[in-house]
Amino acid sequence: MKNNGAEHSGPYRHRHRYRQRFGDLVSLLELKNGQKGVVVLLEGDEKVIRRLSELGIVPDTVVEVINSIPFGGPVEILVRGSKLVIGKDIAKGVLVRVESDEE
Amino acid sequence: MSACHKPSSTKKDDKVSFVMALAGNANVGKSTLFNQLTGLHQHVGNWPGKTVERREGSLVVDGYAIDIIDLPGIYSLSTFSIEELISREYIVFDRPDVVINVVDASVLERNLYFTLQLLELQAPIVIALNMVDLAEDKGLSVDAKKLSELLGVPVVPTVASKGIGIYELIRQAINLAEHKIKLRPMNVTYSKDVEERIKKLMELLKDENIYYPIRFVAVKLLEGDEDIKRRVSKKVVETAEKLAKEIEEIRGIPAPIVIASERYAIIGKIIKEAQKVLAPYKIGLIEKIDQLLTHKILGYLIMVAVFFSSFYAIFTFGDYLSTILSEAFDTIKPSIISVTGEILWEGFFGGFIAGVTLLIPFVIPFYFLLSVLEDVGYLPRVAFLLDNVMHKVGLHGKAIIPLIMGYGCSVPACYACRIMETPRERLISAFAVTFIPCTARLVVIYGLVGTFVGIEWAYLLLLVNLVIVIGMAKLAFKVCPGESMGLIMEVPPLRLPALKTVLTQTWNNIKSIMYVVFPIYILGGGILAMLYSLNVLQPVEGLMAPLTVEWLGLPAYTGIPLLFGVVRKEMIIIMPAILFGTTNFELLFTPIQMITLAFVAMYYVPCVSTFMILKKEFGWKTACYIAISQLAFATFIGGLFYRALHALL
Ligand SMILES: Nc1nc2c(ncn2[C@@H]2O[C@H](COP(=O)(O)OP(=O)(O)OP(=O)(O)O)[C@@H](O)[C@H]2O)c(=O)[nH]1
Ligand SMILES: [Mg+2]
Repeated sequence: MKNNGAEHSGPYRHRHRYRQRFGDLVSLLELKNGQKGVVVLLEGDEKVIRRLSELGIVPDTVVEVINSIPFGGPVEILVRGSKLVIGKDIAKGVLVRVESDEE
Repeated sequence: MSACHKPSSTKKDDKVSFVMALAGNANVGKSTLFNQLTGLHQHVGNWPGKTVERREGSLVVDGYAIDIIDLPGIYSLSTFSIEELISREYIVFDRPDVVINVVDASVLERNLYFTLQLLELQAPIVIALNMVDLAEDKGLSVDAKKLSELLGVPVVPTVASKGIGIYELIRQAINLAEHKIKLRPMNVTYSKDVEERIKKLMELLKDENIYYPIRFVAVKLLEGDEDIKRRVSKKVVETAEKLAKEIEEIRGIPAPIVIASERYAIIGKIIKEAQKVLAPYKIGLIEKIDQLLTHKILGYLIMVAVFFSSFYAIFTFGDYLSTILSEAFDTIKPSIISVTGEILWEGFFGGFIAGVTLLIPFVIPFYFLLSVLEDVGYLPRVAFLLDNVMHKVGLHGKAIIPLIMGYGCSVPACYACRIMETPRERLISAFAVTFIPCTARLVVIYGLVGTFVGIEWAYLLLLVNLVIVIGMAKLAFKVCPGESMGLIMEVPPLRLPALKTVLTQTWNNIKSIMYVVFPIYILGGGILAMLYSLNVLQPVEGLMAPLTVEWLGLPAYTGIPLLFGVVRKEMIIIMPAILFGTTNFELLFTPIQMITLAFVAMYYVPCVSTFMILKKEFGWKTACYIAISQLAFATFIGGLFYRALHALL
């Protein structure tokens, strides 16, 4: 499938640099239901990233995964008091630091 | 409704008139407010993206004539979607006297993101702090006065669905339009790194001739806004790109995200002062039901049950009503005196009766159920469940919403395809929509096959249809160039249906049938009866016979109904009913013919209205391609289908 997911290059590809700076990051897909994370980095298509940031998914924001569909389905998250559902390919590019590790 | 725009206050009939636009995020109650203000019936429903086109209405209050503009819901004033660009240009170029920014008090933080950009655009805004009831239910309280102080614009709490706060809102808007109050919009100030660069760009922009405020332009350029880039000189664009790079170097994240983060930081401060959390968030009964509806296993079972029982209920109820109605009409049939009288009675009145007994009984329950599903907020949940299925055909979850609406009528469903982000996804979903049997086609399926062959055959046709829709979408996905995007959708709260909304919506959907479609039946019926008595149509039937009789195995008299069906699909059974004066189709068709006819009716060509919408959205060429591919598909597969049935039964 040629969906514009997270497999992008250019200015949005800093994962390794950030990995060094922040330690281990996981994507939204790797969070379990009820688990929270702090957004560190957004990867993927520029337009998609911009839309995510407009909806409040920007660095340092707490997001909580509240539901997900297995086998490549979307995740439902709680962010800034609103519920959003995000497709797998996009969620893969939202990299977070798991909350509990931080405190 | 008035179609003319008045850029600023003008006198008409001694009344001062103003133009006010409703703008805000999706699903915040703009159209509800619009309906309350204008008394019109703009489509409302509990899912984001219903309004896709600007709609105008008017009201007179306290001696002012006010034009109200309902805009599509948007999350930002960037140019991510066509709707955002349209709304932005409307606000900037048409300059409404007041922009009523409708915000959802229960999701204030995200809603203020758009408000902040309206402030940057220096729009004359009044804020409708809507859904305060919902916010309270969530344990949130918003201090409207504080919010108004912080933002420097009037804020009026409202509950649009109950009409609360609306007069106060419009009063404030009038005061603003008359310059009786002055806005002191807060300055949206970014961090030093960003501000320095905004200033630099503003300096350059002084010599440029653009309609937008230059600070807004400078910020948008740093955000990489494509539309704004086209409006300024190349030199400015290059400088902006360089400056944006610098910001990225300093902050380690791309400039657009830096700017979005900083806006949210500003909003965070506002929220801290203006919003209080009264009660901790609790998971209530509705929330529990929501969890079931979107559960990874149960959710699917419930979904299948919901759709199956809906179709079953529509059929059972429709069949019951249809029988009662036709019996009632049989008793009032007058004895006929002359031949011409017979033609007129059978034709004109026959058209009316056939419409009442065949269409109404199925259409009303259908739209009633669809409105319930919409109002409850079930559609976005289905979008969530079916996202990965839709990905297989190059779409994403949201596309299921126009597809479901397609079972009602293809026309609004094709419009609803605008909730898809890219032109390619819009086209694929509209193409798929035209294959979904709308109520008119469901009437043919139910009225012929369901009633006279067996309901299980009607279901079989619907199941086969699902396979065909998926196949067709997949085909379109293969041949259509362009990009696709993934799913990003806000989930509106689940709630109990409000009877009033549901009934209004149902009426909205069926009233065009009363006003427009019935005259067509009556006229069509009359004309048909007359032409037949003059022996004009028989040669046409003869011409169509190789296709209808030889290839599809249908009686010759289905030729004319199929032609009429291009206007409205249900004409395919209404015409024979008129011609033969009976809705007992067993007398006219064999079971195999009924199934074949229903099958052909489902696919053979988009009706005129659908064709016009396709033309409007995608152009002549695409509309013709779609029509031709359907015709080819329906005749070819229809003939095979007929032969298969013959071999099997
Ligand atoms: N509880 C509550 N519900 C409301 C209120 N105002 C509107 N609604 C409901 O919110 C839903 C969305 O309303 P719409 O008027 O369609 O929203 P919109 O802003 O026009 O949405 P789009 O056209 O999709 O941008 C509907 O189901 C309304 O009945 C309110 O003040 N309180
Ligand atoms: Mg609307």
